[in-house]
Amino acid sequence: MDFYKVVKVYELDKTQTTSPFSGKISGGDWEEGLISINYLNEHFGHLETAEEMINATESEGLKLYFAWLKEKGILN
Amino acid sequence: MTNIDTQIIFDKNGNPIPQYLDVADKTGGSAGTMKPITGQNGAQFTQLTGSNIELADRKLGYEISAGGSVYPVRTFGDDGFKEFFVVVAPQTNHEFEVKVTHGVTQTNVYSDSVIYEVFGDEFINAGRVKYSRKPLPILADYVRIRVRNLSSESQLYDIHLWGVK
Repeated sequence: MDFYKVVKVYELDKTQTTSPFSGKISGGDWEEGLISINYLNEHFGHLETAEEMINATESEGLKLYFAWLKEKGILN
Repeated sequence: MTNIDTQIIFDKNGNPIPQYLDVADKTGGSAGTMKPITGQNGAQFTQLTGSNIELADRKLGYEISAGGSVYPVRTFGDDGFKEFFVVVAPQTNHEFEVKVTHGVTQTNVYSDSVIYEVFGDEFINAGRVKYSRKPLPILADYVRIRVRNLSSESQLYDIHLWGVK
């Protein structure tokens, strides 16, 4: 999967896309930020489904991000 | 101090006025010249000069997702700061990036309030910490610090932003 083809690029930095789960203070709510599309392609581009991607990372923010993409119909 | 051959200054009643010895000005004698102390409106000049530095924002133990970028700390123009400087200290040694984002607080026809990101090169490494090498100017309504986690794991950071008035 090429993430450049499925996510919306950030206007001011076209190598990035927005994520509601980029960062948080300890014990707080997640805050919106950016995530590198190149990073997504490099680490998860060989996978097809959100479930595979969630299982391939230890990052809680990324797990939530992939689940969010699935919820929005962007990932299967 | 002995052998001062310069004349002190008196007022019209014959009383000495507040004065000092300018040792560089030899017109009043070999020891120097007495001169009146004249601050603003005749008062003694007592203004202190230098920077007034205050903590503008701080996030401790801030978690950034693998590959993620966030803007954890910020300061607004109405905070009264002219410049700022930043320290970003991660919990573990890994690759990350720091940039400064300047933006506007009100938009109408353009959806994004960010106008430019600069000064990425102004951050230097000290161990695993990055900090701004000098105070950076505030160029718009607000300044946010963008921290980008380039590792493949979530990372924790302490991020400090000081403003200079």
